Amino acid sequence: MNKTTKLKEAIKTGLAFALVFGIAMQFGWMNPYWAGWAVAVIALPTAGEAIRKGTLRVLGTIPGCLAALVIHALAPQDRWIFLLLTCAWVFGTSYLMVSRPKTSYFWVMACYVCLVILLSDIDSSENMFESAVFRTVETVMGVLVYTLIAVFVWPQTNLGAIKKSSAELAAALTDIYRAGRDTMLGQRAAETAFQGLQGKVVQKLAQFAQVLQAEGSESYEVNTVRQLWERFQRLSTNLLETAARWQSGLAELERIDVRMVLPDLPAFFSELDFRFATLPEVLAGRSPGDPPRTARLEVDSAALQRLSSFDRAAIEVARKEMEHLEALTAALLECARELGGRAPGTSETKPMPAPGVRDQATRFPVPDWDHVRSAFFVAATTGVGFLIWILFDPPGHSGWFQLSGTIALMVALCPQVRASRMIIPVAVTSLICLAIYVWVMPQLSSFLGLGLLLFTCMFLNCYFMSGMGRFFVSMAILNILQIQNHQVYAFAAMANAVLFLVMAFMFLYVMSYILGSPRPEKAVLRLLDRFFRSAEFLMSRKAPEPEQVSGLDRWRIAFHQRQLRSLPAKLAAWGKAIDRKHFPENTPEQAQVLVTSIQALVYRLEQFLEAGVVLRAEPLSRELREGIMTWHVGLEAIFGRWARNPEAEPVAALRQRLKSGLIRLEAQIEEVVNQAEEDMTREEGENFFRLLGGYRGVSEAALAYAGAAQVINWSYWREERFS
Amino acid sequence: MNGIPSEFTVGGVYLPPLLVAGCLGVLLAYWTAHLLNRYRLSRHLFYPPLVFVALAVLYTVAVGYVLVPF
Repeated sequence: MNKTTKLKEAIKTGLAFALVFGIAMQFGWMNPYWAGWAVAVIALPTAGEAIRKGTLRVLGTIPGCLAALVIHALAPQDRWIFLLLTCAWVFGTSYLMVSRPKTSYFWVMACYVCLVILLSDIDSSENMFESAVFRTVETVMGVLVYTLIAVFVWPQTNLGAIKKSSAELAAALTDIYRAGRDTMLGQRAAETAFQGLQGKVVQKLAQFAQVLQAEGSESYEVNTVRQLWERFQRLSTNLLETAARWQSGLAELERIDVRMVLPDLPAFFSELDFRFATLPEVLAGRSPGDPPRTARLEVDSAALQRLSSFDRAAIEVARKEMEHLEALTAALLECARELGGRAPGTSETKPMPAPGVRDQATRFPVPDWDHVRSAFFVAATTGVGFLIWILFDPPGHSGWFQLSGTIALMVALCPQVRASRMIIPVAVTSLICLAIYVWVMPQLSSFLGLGLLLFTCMFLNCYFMSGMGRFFVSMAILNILQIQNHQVYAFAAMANAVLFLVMAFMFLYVMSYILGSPRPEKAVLRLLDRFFRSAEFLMSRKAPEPEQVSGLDRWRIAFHQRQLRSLPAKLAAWGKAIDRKHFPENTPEQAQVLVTSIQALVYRLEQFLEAGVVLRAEPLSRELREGIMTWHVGLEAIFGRWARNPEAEPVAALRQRLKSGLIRLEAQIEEVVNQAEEDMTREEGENFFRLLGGYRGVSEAALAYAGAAQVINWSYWREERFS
Repeated sequence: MNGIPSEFTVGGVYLPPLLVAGCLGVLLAYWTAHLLNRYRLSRHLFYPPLVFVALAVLYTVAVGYVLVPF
């Protein structure tokens, strides 16, 4: 954002902030700062973003108010039932907040407003309904005032942003596809710059999601085809994942003449080139775009027979991924044509081509362990805050219950932001506001003066601060200035409020130990432990003995699969949060390589698990049971050791063991395949080699991880230190 | 220093001596933790957060005895 835009945005927010106080005070509404909160929080750069956040704020306020009324009705005189019900509501809404990013803010409000209304009048429940109504009305008014100002004063619109963003996303996807294609054709080295390209697509996907929400809130045209845009987003995400899985196996094709084995390869890539070239044109509306043609990838059986078993396996794995890629690009182009009105849209929901088969579906919900912990942290903080209030009643009083829970929500949303780092900014901004409260506010005698003060405070806040910093300053302005219809000045109350704010953040810091040590390097170690435990469990499920899988086992498999898929992104986020000053021996690049190797391991494990779905009782794998079992048990044991110690397997020794295992297994395979070739159908052969490719892929990825883990000084990360 | 607890006044505002001693104790504990981290001595501790709390309490008591009786 340039300086002029920043200035305009700061003026708009300051104006809306002063105006909502004026309106609330003019009508004598309860707690005018509720409307001020609405403005401070929804003030975002574009009208679309502000409208969306404002809508979620209003919608979230309603269930929050209703929950507070119900809790109070059920437990008017029983503090323990009251606490239990409140914590249950806080737990549920916090879980939904962290697990549903699209509607996260709705659940924040549902939780926060419930705590506010429960304590609106702690002496009696007489005014509770009135408080709930005023809270809703003032939130609506704050949202409305800011929206009107955002729309009519120097409007910053999102219109057209979605087309631009989708074109950029398509261009980034094209780059990643071309990198894979060139690697496969031997025109560039495997993995060259792939990480950078992948990071670019992830960034473009995030931008697209944001723009879709913002423009969808602002434009009726976009809103009517929102489902199609959401499909485009999901297809792009799946395409990225498939390209990454495809790319992770390309190193194994380096010494194979793929053009000989896959004679249709030039025609296949030509069709995909055409699709990727047409996509931006169709999205921009410059070309109607022809419907995608079918692209097949047949194997030359004679050329395939000449390859070794593991090379055949690598070809089968790559071919499967390329078939997924073909289906996804065709669906993506069709979706773009529908968006341009060039293809008939159907009211039916089309099936979504997925990167791979999902095994072991379960009817029961599969929670994310980190989400459960975050929700528990918020509920526990609220509960302990309540106990501190009723047992000790320190300065801040009911704020220990209400504000601690609210700040805990923020910590749960951004676990990498450390509560200890917030203490000093909160103390400084609160002291500045206390000085304004003591020396400036008593001098004001009209709304003109107060409005000017509010405008100036919010203007300076918006112009100089951003992100969390802006939130803290807004919190200090609204909590310390405490503007009421009948203004009373009480220094002791405000000094206690400052003290309470600082103590509340200290309390949060202590409570954050519920989630484990807040040190990022410890979090990385913890996540790696969980990752390898899940990998070990999933490998143990793969024992090639056909067996009955119970409902509980299915749920556990789904749980560990979810862990496996979600942990690399969390590892990346925590890895970035590590303070490099404290660990100069471990560079950020090394941590990045470690995360990349973990992600590759996830892809290879998934490919392996998918192959296993179709081949548990395959006759060929029965013949090779002994060899496969040895390998299988070996990998399971390695994952188990890595769970306890990420550097447990030195790469050289591991490489040697895997190599000798591969040679032994290859000899067995040759023998068995030669014997069984006549009885084996083509599909059975393909599936068998997919499974074999899965084993090899997991082994190669495990080696890559061992290499990345070996260069990191783990003992340094394990050392105890003050955080 | 007569050892009798007395309030602090800052611009006419009275502050309890325990608050002042507590703030000084936390600051001293913070400074000690910083030094222990800097010279990698904290690695010998079993659980640094608990040590921090203990240090803060010890320093607060020490400040109470030496500087600010409460």
